[in-house]
Amino acid sequence: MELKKQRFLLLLFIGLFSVGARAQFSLGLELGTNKNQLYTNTSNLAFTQYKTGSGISVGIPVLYKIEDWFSIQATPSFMQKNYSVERTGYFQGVYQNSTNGYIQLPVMGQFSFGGEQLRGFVNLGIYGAYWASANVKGAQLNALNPVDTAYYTSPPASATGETNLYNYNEKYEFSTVKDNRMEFGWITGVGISYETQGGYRFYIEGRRTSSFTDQQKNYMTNQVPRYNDTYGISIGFMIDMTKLFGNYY
Amino acid sequence: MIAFLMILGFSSCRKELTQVNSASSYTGNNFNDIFESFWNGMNNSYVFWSIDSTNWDNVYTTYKPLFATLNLYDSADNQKALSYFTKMTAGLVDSHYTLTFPSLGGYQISPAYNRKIAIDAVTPDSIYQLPSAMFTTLIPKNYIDPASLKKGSDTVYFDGSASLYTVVTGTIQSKILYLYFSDFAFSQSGANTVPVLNSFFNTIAQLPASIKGIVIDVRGNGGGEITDLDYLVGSMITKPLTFGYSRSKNGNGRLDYTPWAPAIVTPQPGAVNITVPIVVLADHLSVSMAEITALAINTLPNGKFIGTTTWGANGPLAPQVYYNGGQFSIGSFLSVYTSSSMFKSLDGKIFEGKGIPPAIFSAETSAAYNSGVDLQLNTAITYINSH
Repeated sequence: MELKKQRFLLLLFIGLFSVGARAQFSLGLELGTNKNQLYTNTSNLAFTQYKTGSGISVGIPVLYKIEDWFSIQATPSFMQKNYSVERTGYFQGVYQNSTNGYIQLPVMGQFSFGGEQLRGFVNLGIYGAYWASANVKGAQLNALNPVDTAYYTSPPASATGETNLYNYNEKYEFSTVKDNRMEFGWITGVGISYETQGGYRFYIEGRRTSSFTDQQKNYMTNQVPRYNDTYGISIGFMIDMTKLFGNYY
Repeated sequence: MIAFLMILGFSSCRKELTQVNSASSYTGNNFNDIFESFWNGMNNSYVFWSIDSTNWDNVYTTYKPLFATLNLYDSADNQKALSYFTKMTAGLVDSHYTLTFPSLGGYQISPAYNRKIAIDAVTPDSIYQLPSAMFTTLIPKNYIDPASLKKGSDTVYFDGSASLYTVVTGTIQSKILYLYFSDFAFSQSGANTVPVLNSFFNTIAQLPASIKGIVIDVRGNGGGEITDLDYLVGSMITKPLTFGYSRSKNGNGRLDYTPWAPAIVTPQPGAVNITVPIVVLADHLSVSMAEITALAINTLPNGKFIGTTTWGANGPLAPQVYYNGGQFSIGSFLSVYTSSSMFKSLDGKIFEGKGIPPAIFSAETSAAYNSGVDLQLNTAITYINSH
């Protein structure tokens, strides 16, 4: 039994070594901007609409080229997935912007095509993320701070004419009952890259990130799920560590 | 092809976005529809799920099949439905909570009221409800200086229902300014009550040096208009007073809440800074704005709440559309009266369903009342005289 195990480990090591001998390993930095939308249903809430939010992302792409046309890429990153909710009509002025920070690890297969230097690529993969931070900024009707309407000579034009707004900008307190801070989803991207002779690769990529886990724990019957859908564009560069350091890394 | 299959596969991992209907969109034409509307309306709009111990998921699994067997056109089944509604809501913490069944003769279910009527078992010598004669006869006759007495009554309306609104003011022992009003309905004051209120507020505006204290009496007061808090307490302060916080729903989830917003009393134009002791008298039938007022006055450095623990209905009310939460109706069968916001005190305590405890406990007794004595007012007078 022990002999079999040793043989298996030996074969695995030889296999990995032989792939590694012709593989390229690249490391870099990418910056991006995105639009996130909360995919949910609030059709029963009057004068209420969810809107997309703008965010940023920063990541460290790690690319392992196995074949000329196929690589594995992982990009540990920090990504914002923001959105807002606004009241309309008579309730105009009531809103909340949610700024959410995720620590995210996408693992993608990269299919590339084209010439030696200028190449196109498609990324397909999955990701896991941790909802690390959240902030809420907005204005709400303050039930116990009414506007004194006793001296009104005409009716109020909006709800803020009846009740003062409370403006806030504060850290969101996560609920251990409600909030699901682990998020998993799929990721697709398409982009082009340019690789220099010295092993420097620059790229621009459009990426869609969609969660398939609810932002909430399953804590109530007839719960309406909430999913993040994020469309982003990133620019980045990578350095071919093989060319820089040879195969000693 | 692989990409397409991957996207298809991962997309299908999402749960279906179910249709969410407003509770008031249901027809209420059969009990199945009524139950779905009621349960979902409560599920999405009830504001106290973060503190309520009622297991609403269990309510669904238990009562959905029971309602499914009921016939809306059968009077016996309607009685069964009423008993189900009573049981489903018995433990709800919202003490404003009232179910009204217009098509069943206006039958009402009030879980908090059902709990309160047991108060005699706790304090056997208490008077459950102070008679109106306490404020219109006993206090004016036995306590208020005759030359200073002013009182009057008008009819006011709450949610379309007429109510007799009484205001009494005057001085006690020539050194305590007293005000009683039966409801928070200042804006509806009529020919008989406006002069009484004017007398009180004019005295406040130029408080004689002989006045050593003020008593605001909200015992048995069922609450009313929020703006009256500013008008009353805001006439006695010159800086905004933060006395607690409120929050409301901001989504369909039971725990979707706005941040806590400060509850503020705003000084009124021409307000003066009253520095003499202000005592608020409240009891277990002081509800809603009466309780909030007791707490606000008790927050003042010179304020003191004397009496017994209040009713426990602290959440402000507004139509559903304002806060996407609170009251709703199901056709002509049922209307659900419930708070649209929840309230907590400055030190983070939520008194909903419990009542606000007094700073100084003082209870009435039938024996005292029958002998022409107001024990709680006596405690207030003693307190002011000792300061």
